Amino acid sequence: MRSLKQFGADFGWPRIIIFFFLVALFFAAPAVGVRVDASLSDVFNRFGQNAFFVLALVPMIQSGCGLNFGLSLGIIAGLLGATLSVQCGLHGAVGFFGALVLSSPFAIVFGWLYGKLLNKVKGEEMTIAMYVGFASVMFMCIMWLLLPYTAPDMIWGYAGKGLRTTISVENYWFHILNRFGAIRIGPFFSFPTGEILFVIFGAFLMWLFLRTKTGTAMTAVGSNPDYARASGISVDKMRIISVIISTMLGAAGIIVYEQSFGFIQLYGAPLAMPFTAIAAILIGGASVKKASMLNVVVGAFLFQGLLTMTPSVINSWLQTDMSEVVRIVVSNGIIIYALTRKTKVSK
Amino acid sequence: MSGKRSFGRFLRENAVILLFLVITVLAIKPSGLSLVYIGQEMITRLGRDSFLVLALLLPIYAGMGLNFGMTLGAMAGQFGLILAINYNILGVNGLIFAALVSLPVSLLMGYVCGAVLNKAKGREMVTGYILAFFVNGIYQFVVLYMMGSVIPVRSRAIVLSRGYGIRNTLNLDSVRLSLDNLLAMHIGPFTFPIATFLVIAALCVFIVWFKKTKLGQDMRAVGYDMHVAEASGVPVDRTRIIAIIISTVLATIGQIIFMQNMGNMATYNAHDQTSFFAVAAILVGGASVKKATIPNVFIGVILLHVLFVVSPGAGQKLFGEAMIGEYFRQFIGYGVIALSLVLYAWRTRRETERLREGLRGGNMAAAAAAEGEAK
Amino acid sequence: MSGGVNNSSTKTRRLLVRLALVVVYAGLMAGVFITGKGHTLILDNKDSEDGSIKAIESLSISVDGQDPIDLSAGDRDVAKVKGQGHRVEITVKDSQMVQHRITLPLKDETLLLSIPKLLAGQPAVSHFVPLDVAPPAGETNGNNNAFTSPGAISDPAATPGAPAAPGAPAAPAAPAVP
Repeated sequence: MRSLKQFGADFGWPRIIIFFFLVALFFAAPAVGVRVDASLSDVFNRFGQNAFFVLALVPMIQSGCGLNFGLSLGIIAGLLGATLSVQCGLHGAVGFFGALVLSSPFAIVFGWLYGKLLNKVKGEEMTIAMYVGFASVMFMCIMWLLLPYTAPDMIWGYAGKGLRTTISVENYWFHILNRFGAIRIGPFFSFPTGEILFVIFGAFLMWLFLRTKTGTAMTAVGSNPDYARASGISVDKMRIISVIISTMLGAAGIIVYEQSFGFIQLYGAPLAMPFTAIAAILIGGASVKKASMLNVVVGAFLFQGLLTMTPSVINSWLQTDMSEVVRIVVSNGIIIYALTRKTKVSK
Repeated sequence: MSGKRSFGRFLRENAVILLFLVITVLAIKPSGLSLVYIGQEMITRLGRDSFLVLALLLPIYAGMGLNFGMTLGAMAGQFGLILAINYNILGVNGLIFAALVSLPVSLLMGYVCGAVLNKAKGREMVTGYILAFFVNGIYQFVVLYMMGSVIPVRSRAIVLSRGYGIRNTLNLDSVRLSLDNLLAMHIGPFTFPIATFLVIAALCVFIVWFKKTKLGQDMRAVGYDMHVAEASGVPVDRTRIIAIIISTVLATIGQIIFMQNMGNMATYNAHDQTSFFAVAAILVGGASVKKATIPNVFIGVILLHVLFVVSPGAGQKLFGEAMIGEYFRQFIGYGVIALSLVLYAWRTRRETERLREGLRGGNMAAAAAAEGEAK
Repeated sequence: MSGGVNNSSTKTRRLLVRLALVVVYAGLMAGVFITGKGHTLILDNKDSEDGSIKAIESLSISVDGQDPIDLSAGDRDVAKVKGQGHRVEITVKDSQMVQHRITLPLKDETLLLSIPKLLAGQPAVSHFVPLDVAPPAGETNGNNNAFTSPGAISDPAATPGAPAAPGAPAAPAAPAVP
C-alpha cells in the first residue's frame, strides 16, 4: 500500500488521472460513434507533429531559464527556413532538409540575441519571454508583407507581393516524413513511422547531449548556479547555449509540424504554439526547473491524446461542437495546475 | 559629475515614456490626422480606458505584479451587460444593473484568482495570464452553450440562430454612451464626458483613501516584503486575495464603462485585449512591476492610445499598406511591455549587484548609492 | 479586527451589517430595473374590438415630452419609453390638449396603448404579441478566434484553407476601433 502511494506521488497523480481519463475516453469512443483506429492514428500524428516543440523546452528548463514562452522565435526561424525552401523550389526530402538547413542560421542568431537578453533579466524570464515572443511575431507579420518573396505559390494573387497567410506544401514536402515507412492498418489507421523515428532520433540526441560535459554543465547551472560558478562554468554562456539549442529545436519543430499538417502558417499562427508545448511538458511531469525525456514523450502523448479525444468524444456524445471550449479549458487548466504546484525551491 | 549621472538616470528611468513620446510625435505628421481629431480621441479614450488601468494599481501595490487576471472581472462585467440587454434596461440604469448583477460573479472570480495566485507565488503574472484563458473557456461555455438553453433568455434577438448561445456581436444601443452623455460638456470642438471623468475621479479618491487604511498599509507591507509582513502579523494570503478581489471588481466596472463607450460588444472577444491594453498603458506611463502611481495611469493611457490612433495611418503612409499599420501597432504594444519589463528586471538586478558589491567591499558609499537607486 | 471582548455582539452586528448590505443591494438592483426597463409602446388609434369605442379622426400624441406623433383613424405608431409611469398628452383635432398618466406593467416589453380607450376612461394598456421576427441570417456559432487560448491548434483532419486574412484570426488583434 505504501509503495503504491509512493509510486503515485513519484509519477504524479495528475498524470495518472489523465492517463486513466484518456483510456476511459478510448473506451467510450465506440459507444458514441467515434472510431478508435482513426482516433489513435490522429493521436500518433499529432504527437509526432508537436513532440519537437516539447523537446525544445528541455534545454532552457534544465539551465534554469524557465519555461520558454518565447519559443515563437524558434518557430519564426523555422518559418523563414520553410518559406525560403519553397521559394527556392526545393521538393521532397531535399525540400524538407533544405528548410531545416536554411532555418539554422536564423535560429542561431535569434537564439543568441534572445539568450543575451534573458541573461540580463534573470528571475523574470518567463513574462519577458512571452512578450518578446509576441512582439517578434508582430514584427514578422510586417516582414512577411514586405520581404521580397516571388514564388507564385506563396504570394497574394492581386497585390503581387506579400506572403499569404497559409502556404500549402502539398507539392513540396507534404508528409515526407509521415509517409516514410508508414504502417497502414485499414483505411483509417496510418502510423507515421518516419515522423516518429525522427522524433525518437531527436529525443535520443538530446538525451545524449545532456550527458555530455556541456550538457551536465548546463544542468548544473540550472539546479545550482553557485556551485556551477564555483566549478568554473560560465553561467551566462551555458544559458545562451541552452537558448540557442531551444530555438533551433523550435525551428526544426515547426518544419516537422508543417510537413505533417500540410501548411506553412504565417502571421499570427506562432503566437499560440509555445503554450501547447508548455502545457504538454508540464503534464508530462516536468517542473519549471527540471525536465527529462520521459516528461517530453509522456507529456506530448497525454496532452495530444487529451486534445484529440476529449473534443471528439464530447462532441459526438452531446451532438454539438464544443471542441473549442473543451480545448481551452483542458489545456489551460493543466498549465495552471502545474504552475500552482509547490516546488521545493520557490524561485 | 553628479549632474551627468542624474541625467543618465533620468533617461533610464523614464526611457519608456521618452521613447513613446518620440515615436508618437514622429508618427503624427505621416498619419494625416488633425490635431483636433487626435485631441478628441485622447479625451474619449481617457474616459473609456482609465478605470480599467486604475484597477491594476492595487495588485502592484501588494507586490503581486501585473494583474493579468483582470480579464476575469471584465468577463463578469460582460455577463452583466448581456443580462442588462436581455431585460432591456435602458441608459445608466442598464449600466448600474449590469454592475450590480455581475458583482457576485466578480467577487467570486476575484477570490478564485487570488487563491490561485497565492499558490503560485513568484509566478503570479504568468499564472494570471493563463488563468484568464482558462476562465475564458468557462465564460464561453456559459455564454455560448448555457445561455438560451439552461439559462433562460427573454430577448430572442440576442440569441444565435441555432436557438441557444448569445450572438457574436451584441448591440449595446440601449446603454450606448449613457454614462458619457450623462453630463457631456462641449468646449470648442471638443466634447468632454464629465460624468465618466467624475466616476474616474471618485475611484482615484477611493484609492488614495484606501492606501491610508489599515488594509492598505497591510498591502504595502506585503508588497514590500512578504516574509517581513508575515512576521509582523499581517495575514499575507488574505491581504493578497483582497487586493485581487478589489482589482477584479474594478475591472468589472471598468469593462462596463469601456463597453458603454464602444457601443458594441464582441461577446466572445471583447475581453481578450483588456489586460493587454491596460498593462501596456500602465507600463508606458512609467509604472513598473513593483511600483505604480495614479499619474502613471493617465500618462500611460494618453501616450499609448495616441500612438495607437496615429500608427495605422503612419504605417500606411510609410509602408504603403494599411495592414502594416495594424501590425505595427501591436508590435509597439507588445514591444513596450517587453521593454518595460526588461528595463525593470535589469534595474533590479543591477541594484542587488551594487548592494552586494557594496557590502562585500565594505564600501558604504557604493551601498548607499545603490540604496538610493532602489526606488 | 475586533478582539475577543464582546464577541457575540460583534458577530450579531456584523451579521446585521451584512444583511443590510444585501437588502441595499437587492433594493438598488430592483429599483434600477424598474425605473430603467425599456418598453416599446405601440400607439393605437383603432376601434376597440367590440366596436363600442370609436377611433379618433385625427389626433396628435406626445409621450413624456417626445416629439408629437400625428395619427389618423386606424393608424398605429411606435414610441420607445423607459420606466413604468408615463405622461401622455393627447390633442384631438380642434380640441384642447388632455393629459393622462399611464402605468406600464413590468413584465412585457412591447405593449399596446389604445388611445380611444384611454380617452374614454377605459383601461387602455394591453399586452401585445409581436410577429416572430427571425434574427438576420449569417450568424455562425460563437467564436471564430483561433487565438482564444494557448492550445488552440488546428485539427489536421479539418478542412485546410480555413484560416483567414492576415491578422484576423490567431492574432490578439485589436478590435476594430481602439
